[in-house]
Amino acid sequence: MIKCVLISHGQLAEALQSAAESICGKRGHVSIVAVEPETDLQTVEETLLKVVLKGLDEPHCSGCLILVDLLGGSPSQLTAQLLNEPRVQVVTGMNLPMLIGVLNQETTDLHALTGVAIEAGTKGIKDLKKAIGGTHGTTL
Amino acid sequence: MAQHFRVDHRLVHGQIIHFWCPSLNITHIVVVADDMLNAPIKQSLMKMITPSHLILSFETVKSAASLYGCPHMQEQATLFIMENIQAADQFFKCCEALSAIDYQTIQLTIGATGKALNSHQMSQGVYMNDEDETIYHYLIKKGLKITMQALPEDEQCF
Repeated sequence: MIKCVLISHGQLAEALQSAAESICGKRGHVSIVAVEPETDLQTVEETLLKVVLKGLDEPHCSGCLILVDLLGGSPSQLTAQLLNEPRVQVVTGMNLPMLIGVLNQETTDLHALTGVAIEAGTKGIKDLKKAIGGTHGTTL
Repeated sequence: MAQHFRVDHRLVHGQIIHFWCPSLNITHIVVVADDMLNAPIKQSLMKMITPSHLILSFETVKSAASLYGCPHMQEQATLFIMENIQAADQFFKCCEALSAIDYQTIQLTIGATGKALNSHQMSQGVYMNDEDETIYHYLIKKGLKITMQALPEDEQCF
């Protein structure tokens, strides 16, 4: 099992978890860390560390994947303390396809799951008109 | 060129890059934080989001004060960012020791400070403990204009 931690500005991570679980069912190995505008960053940094270490201590846990909403924002900066840890991977630009892609995997290979997150997260972004080969039918 | 001073516990982040730098025509960001010198990963994360047309420097309080006093700095629009008001006070004191600063002519903007234990709210997103507030009033007494403002379009609070 790979522990999955979602960290975001405000309630985005929680909302994404709820949306993803409404599609692919409840998952027990996901934790949320919210960075509210007025939160003391040191406190959230400690919370994130605790959540990750607790996950890594769980039986059969082979690593922790942290999904972050925005590269360069406070949540991504808080992961700096964990970037030297070999059992932890961090992916920024978290979105719903990425999360669904991750939750649907049962792999215990952290690097493979990181690849899945990036591929699913980017693959869901399309110029829909172009993707369907232009517009068809009548206008509004 | 103008020199700007800001307190923000997040240091370099999206609001600085996307809103404050364009609004103030900043060309150089100076992070004034002693402990950042020993945080190469945090530095890398901040460099990663800084566009290539901006210079980003990490300085100690002392080295930032020396930098502020350099004549060539007057040719750049620089944003000095400190983590909290205590760091800002130390920085201004170092500048004062170098006779490089006139409190009457500069302004400090406080963007965000975290809600820590024993702190109280000063304005939206800005919290101070008693020690911070003593420094805040001391700096105002010295003639420094202090405003609290998260984004350029927000109203300034005094």
